[in-house]
Amino acid sequence: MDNEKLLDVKNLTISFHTYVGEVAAVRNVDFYLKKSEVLAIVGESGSGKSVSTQAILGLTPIPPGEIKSGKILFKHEDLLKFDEKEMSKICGSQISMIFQDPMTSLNPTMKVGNQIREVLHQHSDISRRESRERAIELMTLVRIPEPEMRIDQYPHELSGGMRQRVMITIAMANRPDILIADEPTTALDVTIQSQIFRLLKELRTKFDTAIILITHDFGVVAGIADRIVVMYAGKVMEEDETDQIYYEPRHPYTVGLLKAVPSLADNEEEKLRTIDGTPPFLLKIPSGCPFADRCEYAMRICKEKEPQYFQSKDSSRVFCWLYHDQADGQLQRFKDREGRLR
Amino acid sequence: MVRYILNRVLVAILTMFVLATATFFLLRLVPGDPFAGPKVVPEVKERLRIHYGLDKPLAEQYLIYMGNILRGDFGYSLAKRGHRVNKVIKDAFPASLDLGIRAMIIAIIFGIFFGIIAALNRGKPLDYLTVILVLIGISVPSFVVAALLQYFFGVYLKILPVARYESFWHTLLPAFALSLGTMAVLARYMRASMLEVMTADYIKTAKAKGLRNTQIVIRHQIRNALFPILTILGPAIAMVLTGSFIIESIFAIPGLGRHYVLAMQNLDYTLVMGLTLFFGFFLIVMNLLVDFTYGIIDPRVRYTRN
Ligand SMILES: Nc1ncnc2c1ncn2[C@@H]1O[C@H](COP(=O)(O)OP(=O)(O)O)[C@@H](O)[C@H]1O
Ligand code: SF4
Ligand SMILES: [Mg+2]
Repeated sequence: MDNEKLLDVKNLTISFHTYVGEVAAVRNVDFYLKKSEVLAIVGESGSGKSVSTQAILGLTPIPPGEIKSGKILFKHEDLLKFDEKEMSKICGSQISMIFQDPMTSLNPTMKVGNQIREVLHQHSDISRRESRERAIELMTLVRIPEPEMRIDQYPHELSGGMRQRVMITIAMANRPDILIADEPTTALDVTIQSQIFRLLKELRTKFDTAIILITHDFGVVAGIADRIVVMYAGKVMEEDETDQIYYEPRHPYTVGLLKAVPSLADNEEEKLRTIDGTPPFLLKIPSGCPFADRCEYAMRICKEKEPQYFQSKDSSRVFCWLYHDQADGQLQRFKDREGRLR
Repeated sequence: MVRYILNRVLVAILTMFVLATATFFLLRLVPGDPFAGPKVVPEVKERLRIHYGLDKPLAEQYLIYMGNILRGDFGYSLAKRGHRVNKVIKDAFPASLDLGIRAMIIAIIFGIFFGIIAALNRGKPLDYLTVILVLIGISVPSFVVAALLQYFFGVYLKILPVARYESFWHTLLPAFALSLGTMAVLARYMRASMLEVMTADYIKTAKAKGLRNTQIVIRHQIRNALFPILTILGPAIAMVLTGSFIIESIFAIPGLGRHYVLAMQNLDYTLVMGLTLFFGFFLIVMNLLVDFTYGIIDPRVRYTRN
């Protein structure tokens, strides 16, 4: 089982030392990724999605960041033990990443063609002519129209959608094993969003690339993800196969996120219902369940003691007291009310 | 782009006009007499006033003067009898230009270098050292620095000439003294610019592409940090220019700055006017050039203006 895992993040804890104190951004997070599968990491903004995935590529700014514990096993080697030189060989060739804002993710003073070619030259010995041809080929592949002309343009001459395609070109240039897409469409129009997702799916089939798709919107993951990890306040709340999460979400937070998706709500009344309240301040984490203040099913123990993970299958766990043997009654109430969700 | 340039040139002409008018009238408000002197008898003074047209009504003088400068004629110096202002400028400009260019080169090279070093060592001793040096460079007046340099290298070590402007060795101390303030300002800007770029998203992208840290610094960080520096080159040139008044006087360099200081002391209306307008013109042209170059070099500006 374990050797199927291409990437295995174990017990990852990351803090930021700020002027006001230590921000516990990611706490004991585990997730894994199998070859050529798509894993979605879903959670409200600030739940630690970016911090935990950027750590994979060594992008955590240290200081103020500090990786307090954990392992990031990639092909059985711990990336956290790699030095700068070893990491640079992995980044952009075996694991690559695209970011939320294509407007700022490209160097504004460098032609997009050169930015694409840079990643080709970095990881293979090819001539300048070859890299240009290869860049045009790749741009065609991600459907950038008129690549011969675009290759000599600067980022600001391209639309947001086109820039994200350029970012995807850069990320896919060396056919990585893993692509991390951190909210790749959040900054884009809805129409462009679906095009980008279609493109990602296509590339995945074509290159067999495993993808970690990060989003705060459950609406976009159904058609693309194999498995889902739900994050909140720096912790994994629930992890399961996509269908399971959609049809039978087990964590009250997951239920809240699903209800907030307009297209998934099955009647008018349920439309656009967002979860009341705000995530906890990560400077002073409450001792119990981080969701307790916002949870309709909170019990006394929820405020007192942090829940543990209740595992049902290998790929399925939930961080919630409802699944404790002694909470049967409350769990029944949850099931009765939320069971009708789908 | 053409319209933008025309616009800028028009504003420049207007600025020159306002500068000429304001200096003309303000100078007359300065108390004193251009022909004052212990040996000058009142009759001679009167004849001189008539000779230079200073007896005419102020408005008429103004019109005559403006007419003349339109033809590029700055008239005769009042204090250096018989010398044309144009000739004074022509003779003194080369030395000033030479000193200014040397000072700018020193300021740019070292300013940017120190800025980069400080930014790359942020929060470490080297950073604090640069920050302190920058503070000193900005706050210690150039004449103090000049005097210290003269004493140390000229009098104590005796390895460099104390004054005059005759060989390469003569240029070193004044150019360095003149460059210090500008160097400090440039270093501070470069440091801030580097730090700003360091947190930019595209630096993260570069790292995610597998670039080594040094490659990122050279190819992405320094390159992008340099663009904002271009925009302060205009003010930097102005700083060197104003600094040159004092430095030229201290080092006895036969440049425009020294003439300016003397002309002001003598209340030499025509020479002060001529030099002011010349400096003004020079600065405006430099600023225009800097802006246009920026527009040509920075792709972002280049395209939005089209
Ligand atoms: N450089 C940083 N300094 C301080 N705090 C940070 C830094 N980066 C992220 N954080 C904190 O870490 C938490 C998680 O952030 P993030 O992973 O970006 O959330 P998400 O991507 O899920 O929206 C947030 O509370 C954020 O304020
Ligand atoms: S542990 Fe308690 S408060 Fe937290 S989600 Fe479960 S029921 Fe709600
Ligand atoms: Mg994020």
